[in-house]
This record gives sequence, C-alpha cells and structure tokens, in this order.
Amino acid sequence: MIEVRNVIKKYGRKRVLNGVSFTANKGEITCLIGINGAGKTTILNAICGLTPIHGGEILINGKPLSKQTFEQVSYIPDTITMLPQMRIQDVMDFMGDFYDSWNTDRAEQILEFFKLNRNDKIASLSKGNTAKANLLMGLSLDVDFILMDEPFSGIDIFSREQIAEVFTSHLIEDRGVIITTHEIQDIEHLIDKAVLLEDGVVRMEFLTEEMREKEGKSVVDVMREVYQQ
Amino acid sequence: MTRLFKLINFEFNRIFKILLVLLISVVTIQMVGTVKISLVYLNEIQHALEMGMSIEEIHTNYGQISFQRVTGSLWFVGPIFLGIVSVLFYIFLIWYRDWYGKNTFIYRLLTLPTERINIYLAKLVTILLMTLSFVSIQIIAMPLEIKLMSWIVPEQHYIHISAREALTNHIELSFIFKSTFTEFAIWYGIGIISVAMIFTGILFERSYRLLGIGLGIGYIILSVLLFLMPVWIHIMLDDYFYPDELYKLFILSALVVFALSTWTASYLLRKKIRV
Repeated sequence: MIEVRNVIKKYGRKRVLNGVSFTANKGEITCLIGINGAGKTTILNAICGLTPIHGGEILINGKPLSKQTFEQVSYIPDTITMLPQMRIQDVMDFMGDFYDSWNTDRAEQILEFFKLNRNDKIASLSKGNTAKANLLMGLSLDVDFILMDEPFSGIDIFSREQIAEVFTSHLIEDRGVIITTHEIQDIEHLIDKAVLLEDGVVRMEFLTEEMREKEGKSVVDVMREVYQQ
Repeated sequence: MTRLFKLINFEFNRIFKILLVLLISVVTIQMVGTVKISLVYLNEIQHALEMGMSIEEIHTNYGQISFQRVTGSLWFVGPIFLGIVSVLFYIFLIWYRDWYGKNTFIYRLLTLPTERINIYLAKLVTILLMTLSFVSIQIIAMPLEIKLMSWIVPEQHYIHISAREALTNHIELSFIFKSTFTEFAIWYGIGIISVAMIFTGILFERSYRLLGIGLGIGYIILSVLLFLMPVWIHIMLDDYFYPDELYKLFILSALVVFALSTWTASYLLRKKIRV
C-alpha cells in the first residue's frame, strides 16, 4: 500500500499541498483528479523523492523511501526519461542493466503490443510512440506500484485507445496504479478509486463502483458536485 | 558497487564521442603547428643561405630550433587550453544537461535503485577520466610531435630535447604536467576535491534554485577556507609547523573537505533535490 499522510508542500510562500492524505492499494487503480496546478504531479514526484516535502510522510509498503523503493514502484512521468540518442533497444538494455525487477519477456510483449520498432531512436519517435516507449519502461518492471502522470496528455486518439487497453490487460493486473489526469473521460470506466484534489487538499476520496451502486453517480457527476459548488 | 561502475561506464560513454573528437583535435592542431613552425624556420634558413650567410652566421642570427619553439607557441598551448576549458565547461554541463536537455534524464537517474550518491560519484569519476584522457594524450603525442620535427628539420639545425624537458621548462604548463607521482597525486587530488566542492555547490542550486545559488557559492567559499585552515594556523602561530607537519595537515583538511562535500551532496540528493 502507498500511504500519503498529511503531506505539505510549499513553493516559496505558496502551499501547493496543504495536508494531503490518501492511500493507494495493490490491485486497484487510483486516480488523482484535479485541474492543472492542483498538485497531482507534485504528489507523484513526492512519492518518488523527486521533490522535498515540508510536512507529513509517505510510506510504501509501510516503509519510507529508500533505494529499494524503485524495485517496488515504477514512475512514468509525462516526459520521456531516456536520452534522445538512445534506441529503444538501448533503453531496454539500460533498464535491464540497472533494475533487478526488469522483466525482459514482458518488455518484448509490450514492444509487440505497441508495435514499437526496437531500432528507432527516442528522438525520432512521435508523441504517441514516445508515450508508449515511456510505458514500456514503466510497465516492464515487476513492481507492486506504477505511478503514471497524465499518460493521455497530447496524444492521438488511436494511441489513447491502445494505452487505455493496457489498463484492462494482464500488464496491470494485481498491481497498484496511481494515475493523474485532468481528462477523466478516457479512463473513467477503468478506475477503482478517485481522489479529488483542489487547492492542495483532498476534497473527496471514494470507490467508484461503490459510488455508482449506492448513489448512482459517475465520477464526472461527483466532480461536477465538488468542483462546481 | 556494481551499479556505481555501470553508472560510471554510462556517464563516460555519454561524453566519449565528443571527447574523442577533442582529443583528435588537440593532437592534429599540435601536429600541424609543429610542421608549420618547422617549415617557417626552414624558410628563414633557406632565405639566409640565399643571402650568402654561412651556417655559423645563420645559427648566430636565427638560432637552432628545438621543440621548445613549438611548446611556446599558440599551436601547442591553444589545444591544451581548449582541453582545460572543455573540462571546466563539462563540470557544469554534466549536471545541467540532465535537467535542461531535450529529455529530462534526471527523472531516470534519481529513480534508479541505487544510492543517489553514486550519481554524484559517477559524474566525478567521469570528469577525472576526461582530464586524465587529455593529459595522457598529450604525454603520448609529444614524443611523436618531437619525432616529426626531427624528420622535417635537418640535424645540423636541430637541438633535441625530450618531452619531459620541454614540459619542465614550460612554466605555464607545469601545473598540469607533474614530474613526480607525489606531486601528481597532490595536484590532481586538489583538483578532484575542487570538482567535488563545485558539484555540491551545483546541487545546492538544483535543490534550492535561486536561494541555492547563494548557498552554493557560500558552501564553496567555506570549503576553500576550511581547506586553507592549516596555512592560517601556520601564519597566525608564527610558522609553528614543520613543513612535514603542514603537509600532513593539508592532506587532513583535504580529506575533511572531500568528506564534507560528498556527505552534503548525499543529503541534498536524498532529501532536497528537485526535478
């Protein structure tokens, strides 16, 4: 489980996160929802120790961040994290070299699933294929949790469909996913838990299925209530 | 440990092609310089002979030529400074390219399952390897350049000096090329510690941005003062230490500064760094 407890993050005097708390479980897809600037990316960066926090704590499987965390958590940011001159094959070799949890078989499956060419250089990839290469790196690790920052941002509809398909496949099964988006329509039917953020606080956290069954509301319905109040 | 070596290998490979081009440029420019200086000298001799001067008169007026004429020229010193400037520039680029490059590679580096200080150490070793590459290529190239000059210039006009002699006589370059291992270890040790200090300064800036520039500069100034502390004490206590004691104190202060730099860098990388 990833536990985010009362996290405070300041940029200068501005509090971007003002006591954010939520949990993300293995086997569930948790979606952080909020408008641009709500602090979604900051939360993912904080979980991976890529930005310091000024209060609260973050635990991964009950432990604070350490070098071992990155064999348990994989981060897929909204930007490609490999050098432009590297070929996809070089990227796979690099990952295999540094991560014990790298799963070569799965990497090959994903390569085929996304129809990526292993000899293509990162710099030459289209926006959609860059996002897919990023997913290839993140999903091929045998980790408990995958963090994805805006995976659908700025890519074509076919690539979006292909990426959405990943969520219902064995590539995600049994793992915990935290995903951020401000375009909920693409994945509304896929998510298990929604965490609505506004002005650096969690306005609401709910299980989507439960909300549908008990109150007959979709995620968008709840968002409308929360954000348009 | 294995991941540290893998990181060193990866970092060095990132600069390898450019480094190779620079090394080839250094040797090529110096070789061209050697040929040019030799030919200019031969032209002077030829001109003098045509004027009816004897060999003795020519030697009195123009002197004989040795490789020192090359080491004193821009053809030789220029490429060396090109190497120095490249290393100095790369000390900063090696960090900033990971944040401001086309792709933000720092995300990947910081999420590798290894101690983050290994990133720092790998970059430090890369700078050292880069520096040693320039020094080694120079040491290898000089005897060849000397040989080249001896082929071009007739023996009667040529005075042979060894590469070592050429460098020892060159005051400006004596801080790069050391004649004893101890001297080499001391000067390059100081070099490594200086780079470590600058790296930590850069990490202050990367952690605290604008405020970090002040913190980084402050850190570097404090480290330099700490390093020079034995001299301070020595002067304040009226030449209190024997040279041997002063030397040992310098080694101690250098080790303290290096330890402080790596410890601070490790703390910043673990707790304060921002992508």
